[in-house]
Amino acid sequence: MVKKIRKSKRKSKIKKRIKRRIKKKFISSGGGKVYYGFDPKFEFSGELKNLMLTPPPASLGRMEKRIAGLGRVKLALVSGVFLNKENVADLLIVGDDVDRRKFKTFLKSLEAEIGTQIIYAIMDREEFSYRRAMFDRFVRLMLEGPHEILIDRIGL
Amino acid sequence: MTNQIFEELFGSKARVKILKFFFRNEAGYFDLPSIAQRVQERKTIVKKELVRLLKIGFIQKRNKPLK
Repeated sequence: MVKKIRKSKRKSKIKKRIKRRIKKKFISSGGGKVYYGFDPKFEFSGELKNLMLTPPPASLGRMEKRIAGLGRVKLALVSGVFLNKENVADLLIVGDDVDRRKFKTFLKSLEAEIGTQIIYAIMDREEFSYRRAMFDRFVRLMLEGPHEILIDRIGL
Repeated sequence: MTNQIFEELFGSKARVKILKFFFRNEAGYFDLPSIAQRVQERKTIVKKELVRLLKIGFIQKRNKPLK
């Protein structure tokens, strides 16, 4: 009788120890990971998607202010997801001394708002003029494709 | 402005961001930490919303990240 009690006590002790270790992440709970994804069988999937993705995904006016605060930005234009059009990139910033750390936080919050990753390019003025002069494919597609200019201090 | 409308309509900023996230990444499956990171919201809040969305059948769960 006494032995049995001791045994069960020991078992619960071990269980507790394992639980504590899972909590502290020393060991993994094993296979318990859950992944979530959109269910195409959802009743209003088409309607809701149209409703949520058709309007411009971010306020361009607010974006303009935030981009202007990143450094000496000469040119900023949006395309791609911001206009619901296809293009090589979604965001192009031309400027000298653009604060990369500020830009990263800006990008993160923007991506959170939109719900997807943003394809972007940052270059200084010199590189931009050079690429433009030699009809660089990327720059040409951005300027000739559908786009909206937020900041323009170059005089495009 | 449109974002503000959605936030008021759906009653939660996090929920709007999560809905958009799933629409924009329709084919993918993501775990809680990566969803929270991508929508820039706290895990506890995201978890609550995921439970809600799961209940109404907007999302599915599985234990593998790929289809």
